[in-house]
Amino acid sequence: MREQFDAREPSELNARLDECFAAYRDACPEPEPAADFMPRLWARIEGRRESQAAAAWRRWTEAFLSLAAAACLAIVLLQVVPQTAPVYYHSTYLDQLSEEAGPEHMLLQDVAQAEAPPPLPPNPANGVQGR
Amino acid sequence: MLVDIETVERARDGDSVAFTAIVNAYRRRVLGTVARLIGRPDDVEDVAQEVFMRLYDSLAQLRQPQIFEPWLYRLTTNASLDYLRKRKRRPESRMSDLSEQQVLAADARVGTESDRDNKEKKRVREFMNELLGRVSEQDRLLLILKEVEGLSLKELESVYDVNENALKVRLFRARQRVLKAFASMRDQAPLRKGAV
Repeated sequence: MREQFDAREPSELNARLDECFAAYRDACPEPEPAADFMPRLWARIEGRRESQAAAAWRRWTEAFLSLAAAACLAIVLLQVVPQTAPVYYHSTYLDQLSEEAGPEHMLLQDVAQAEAPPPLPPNPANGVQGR
Repeated sequence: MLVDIETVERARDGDSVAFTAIVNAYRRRVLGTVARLIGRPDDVEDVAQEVFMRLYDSLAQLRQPQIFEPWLYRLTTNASLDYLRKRKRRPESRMSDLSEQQVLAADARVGTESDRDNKEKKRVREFMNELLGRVSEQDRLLLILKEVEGLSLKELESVYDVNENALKVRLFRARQRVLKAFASMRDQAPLRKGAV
């Protein structure tokens, strides 16, 4: 086949092919559009537009539902997971301050102790020390 | 161009009257091109409507109304290619699959084409369909657009979005392949030499 193709005069084949294309162009009928071509086209365009709007609405709804579900999940998780216990301080403010501050603030503690009132003498009436 | 640039611009801006004017001006041409590209008369109108729907959807993206026609050819080619791809996936109905009633109707339709000219045209179409059926879809579409639809290289550049050199190479190769098929067909059936 290749030998036959190569042996043939290419220009003659080209010319014949061009004639074939021209004949084909004339032989192909121009189809006549149907009478309802335009109404059907507009109906399809409207239909597609509506379906696109519906799809957009569905996407928004899905996004909203996903967000709502995520928020619900987060709230439930916050309720279910035990919170860490609050920190209670059992010492006084000065104790805590001296612990946190270090030895250089010991003077402050001494001052505090020095300013503490002296113990009251025993009350002979009811045997209770102080008031 | 079959419509003026102003009409294209108005349609692009959403004017439905202008869009209708464009469809009315181009529908015969689009139908003809689709018919030659897909080769199935029953589906031509559906594909042509798909072309105009795509045009409606994408017209807003057309920045240069001057290239409207190549743009429309591009949409036509793409819609036809999509149709042909879908058709490949779908089982084709052949004569053997048709009911007796459908075969009788098909025969009657052929019988009415008793005119000699019609027969000759039919023979040309069959020959060319067979010839173009021996090359790839891409080659077939390119050659139909160039040789039958008469698109210039410049227009084809816009349709295929490739530069001129690449297009020339494609065209040359497509033509070589169809020439080879042509020679082979003529060798196989020498009687057909006089047919076209």
